[in-house]
Amino acid sequence: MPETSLARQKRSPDRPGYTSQAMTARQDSAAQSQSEAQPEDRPEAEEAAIDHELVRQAQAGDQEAFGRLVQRHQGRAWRVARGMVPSDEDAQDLAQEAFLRVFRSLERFDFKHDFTTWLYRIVTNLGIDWLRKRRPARSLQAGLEDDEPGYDVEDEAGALPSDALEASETAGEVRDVLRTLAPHFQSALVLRELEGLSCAEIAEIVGATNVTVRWRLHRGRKLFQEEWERRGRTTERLEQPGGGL
Amino acid sequence: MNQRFESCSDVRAALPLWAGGDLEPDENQAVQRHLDLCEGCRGSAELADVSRRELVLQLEGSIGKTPDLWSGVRAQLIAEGETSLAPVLAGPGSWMRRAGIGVAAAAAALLVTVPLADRLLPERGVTVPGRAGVGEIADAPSLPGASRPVVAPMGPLAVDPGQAGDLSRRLRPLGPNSAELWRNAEAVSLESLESLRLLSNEVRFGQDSQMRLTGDR
Repeated sequence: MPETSLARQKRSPDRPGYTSQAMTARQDSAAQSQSEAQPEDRPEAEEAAIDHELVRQAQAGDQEAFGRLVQRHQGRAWRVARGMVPSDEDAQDLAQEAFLRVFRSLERFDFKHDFTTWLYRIVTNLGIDWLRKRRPARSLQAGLEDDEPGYDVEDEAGALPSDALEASETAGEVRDVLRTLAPHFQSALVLRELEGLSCAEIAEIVGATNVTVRWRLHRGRKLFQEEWERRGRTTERLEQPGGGL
Repeated sequence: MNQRFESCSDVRAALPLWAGGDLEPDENQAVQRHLDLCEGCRGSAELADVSRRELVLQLEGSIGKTPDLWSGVRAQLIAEGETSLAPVLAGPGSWMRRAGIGVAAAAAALLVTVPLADRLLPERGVTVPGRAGVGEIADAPSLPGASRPVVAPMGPLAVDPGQAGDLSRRLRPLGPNSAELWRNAEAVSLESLESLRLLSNEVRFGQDSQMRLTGDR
């Protein structure tokens, strides 16, 4: 099974989802432990415990605790937001709005769940709302239930603005293609590819079943590949040195 | 997916998940076995892998450095006036805290407003409930049988508690509705006598009684 080094890194305990503060907190808490081999799930459990404690402190009125929560998790919120919306400005607004909603809903936080799950859910929902408001009307109906068979890319390349078609940056083209996908597909791809979350974790975040999340990943990647091939970019990449397997 | 990946169509259908490492271990094994034997499917797998890696690499590359979100969040919370309130009122048992805060606020309000009312309201001819203010007279409500309510704020009237009995006798009106009123007159407090006096005036005026009040106006 081919797996890029990036994907392998995503699945390691020290995946990029952890902020530097989280790394420091984990190191501090493990300072007395001389063992280098820790269970894979222990760092996540420790991080979750730290988050819960910060939530409790924030609920009790400790503004600094809430500030630490934001700083610990702003990387996550930023990446998901930026992965779903096309501009830095919109992504920053979206990520900040997510934390504002967290603040206003602190008293309703369910300690049975991780704070990260809750935050991811808020950011993802905001991203989906943002995409739905800005998508062409005729594409909305296709994004309602992703488990419906026969769903296809809503917009053909010819419907995109001409300046986007002429974009020379590959990243811009990737975003162009992503924009053609339904919000649910985009969110699943962002959570999986950028954050390295498992299908089960994504299912908990988006409130879907594991099967549904797998289907969204499957369709999202397939549709992306089809559009990418249609633009001739896949062949282009294969012809480059080291572009293949 | 529980089906076995024996046919090329099954394998190619699974490639998007295979490329992202999202197949179950047994599924992945079955696909890999097929790919080892089928050159055509290996080519399809390569395309799936390339497009997926392109998606990941470019997506990663387009996401710049994480900005400082806390300053913006904090500024917004301050602008909304929430920073000092929401966390205090939140959390387990927050309803008890709210109740406690509400009671404390109400008590503080009473401590402030009652003395103020005590000083301000008499100037407007209004008594403070429960206060035995000398010369403070409440607005009179209308009585059954009276043609119109008479609200007659009276001037201060000094009342000697020792003369309450004389007062009641002096103020006893002659109106037909007065009997009921005065039946319980002896049971009322000194402050209420002043109110009853005003009420009796209404009965008298409403029936065009000839009796005159003494020392009132």
